[in-house]
Amino acid sequence: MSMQGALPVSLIPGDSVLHRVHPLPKMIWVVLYVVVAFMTQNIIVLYGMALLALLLGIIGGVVKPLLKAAFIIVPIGSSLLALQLMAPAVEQPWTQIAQLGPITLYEDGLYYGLVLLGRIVACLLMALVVVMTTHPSDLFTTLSKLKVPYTLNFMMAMTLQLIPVFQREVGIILSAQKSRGMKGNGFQAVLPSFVPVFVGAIERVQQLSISLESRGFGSAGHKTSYRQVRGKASDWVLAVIAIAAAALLGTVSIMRGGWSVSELLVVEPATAVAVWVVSASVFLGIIAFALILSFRKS
Amino acid sequence: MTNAPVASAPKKSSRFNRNNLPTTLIVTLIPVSVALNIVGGYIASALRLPVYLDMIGTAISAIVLGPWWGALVGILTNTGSALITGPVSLPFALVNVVGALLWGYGVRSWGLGRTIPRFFILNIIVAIACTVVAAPIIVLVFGGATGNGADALTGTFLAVGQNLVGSVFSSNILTSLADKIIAGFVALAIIEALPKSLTQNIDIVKATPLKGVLLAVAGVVVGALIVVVFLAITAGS
Repeated sequence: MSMQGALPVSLIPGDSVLHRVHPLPKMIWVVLYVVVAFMTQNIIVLYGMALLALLLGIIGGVVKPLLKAAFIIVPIGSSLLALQLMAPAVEQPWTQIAQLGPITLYEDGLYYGLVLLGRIVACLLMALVVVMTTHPSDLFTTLSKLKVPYTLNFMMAMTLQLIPVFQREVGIILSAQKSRGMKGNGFQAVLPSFVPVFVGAIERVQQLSISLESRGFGSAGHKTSYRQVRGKASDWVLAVIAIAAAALLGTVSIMRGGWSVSELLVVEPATAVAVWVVSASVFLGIIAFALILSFRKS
Repeated sequence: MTNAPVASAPKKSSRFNRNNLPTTLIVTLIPVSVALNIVGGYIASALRLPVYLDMIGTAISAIVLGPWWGALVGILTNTGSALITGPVSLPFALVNVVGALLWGYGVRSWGLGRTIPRFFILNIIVAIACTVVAAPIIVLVFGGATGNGADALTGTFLAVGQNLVGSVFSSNILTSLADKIIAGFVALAIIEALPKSLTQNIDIVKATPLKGVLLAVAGVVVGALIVVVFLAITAGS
């Protein structure tokens, strides 16, 4: 998925209750969120999970950056609803609810669209809350305690550090090329911008590799870490509660065959049409806006 | 200090490390490729291109280091972007892995990097394979939506009566063809500019100006468009 502007997500420094929770319970929450979200088709559960994540965001004091970062789902969410109303990703037969010229809208699509959207929103919010309230170093220290190979851990941590460095580099190179008369957008700009960024980065890596070499990277033996992460008893209680809740929700969902509550969602044809028109227009509006931007002289 | 373990004695027996590159170099090249994958998407949107270009790092690492290193880059890319865009993008790691394996084996084992036409065909194969893997994920996780302009095309295919998987496949193949072919040739240009110590063992053709490639891409995409429109109309009637 393409990204607009700077990458938004990273640690929001703070000293909230959530910031002080050990990274492992938080990682468990994210995993459980994903598992439960994909097991259930119950929109009450899904949007409840999203609300809980939002509540955690408020507790963590990161609600503003959280909502800003969650904005990336608007284009995909609106497109998802519009497409699902036209062709539900569930087994036929579908119940037709409205006809709009050549386009048929189905009742099942509205419910299933909301299920898919709920999954994405719930998982995204929870993951963002955890990322925003966990120091990356703590996360990687925890991962290495969990016996994740240290090379893998190192590569992941280094990637996260490199992204902002490269972004800055891209900005510098694009400005330098523009000052030499390069076109600022379009395909002609691809090679003059990509090649220097990539080649510069890869050449710089050789230095980094020598530096790692000189510090004995890859040598056998016990590795120690400067950062120490300690959990409180309450952190583990939170993890156990989360596991119990997830097990309960997961079991009920499986026993009830997805636990769909589509019968609760009774919609008038006019509502379905309105949802379709609004989501399709929001989506097309965003695309049109992006197109206009791309034709505007930069 | 004489018997301190040497970090990067080239492991010639390892099936992954056939390049005789030091392990530390590989360990640093991989995060760079991953970061470039993620930043590639950012450059593409900064240049306002209609393609993602977020698999260039995968292509470079698969060709230069080997297909399985490329696959690792693919997995780490989606794990890394899961920290940015949420865990729902994780299944797309599979797409990245398939692309890496095809690029890697294609150039290193099947000799598909020896001439420009062969390399062009390799990129088409990558594009088709990526769409085959991506379309079910897009349908199951995102209900057919990708959040970019191609969704309007998906909607149009649905309106003329194509089914959901078919519509997603049809619109995705068009973006995928343009994206993977351009990514492949950008990767080629970058590989040529890399230090010779990294690329001496690879049998790959010299880069070509992107202009000719773009014309060929336009041709392929228009051809594919005609085919998918025809299929959609046949499916609808």
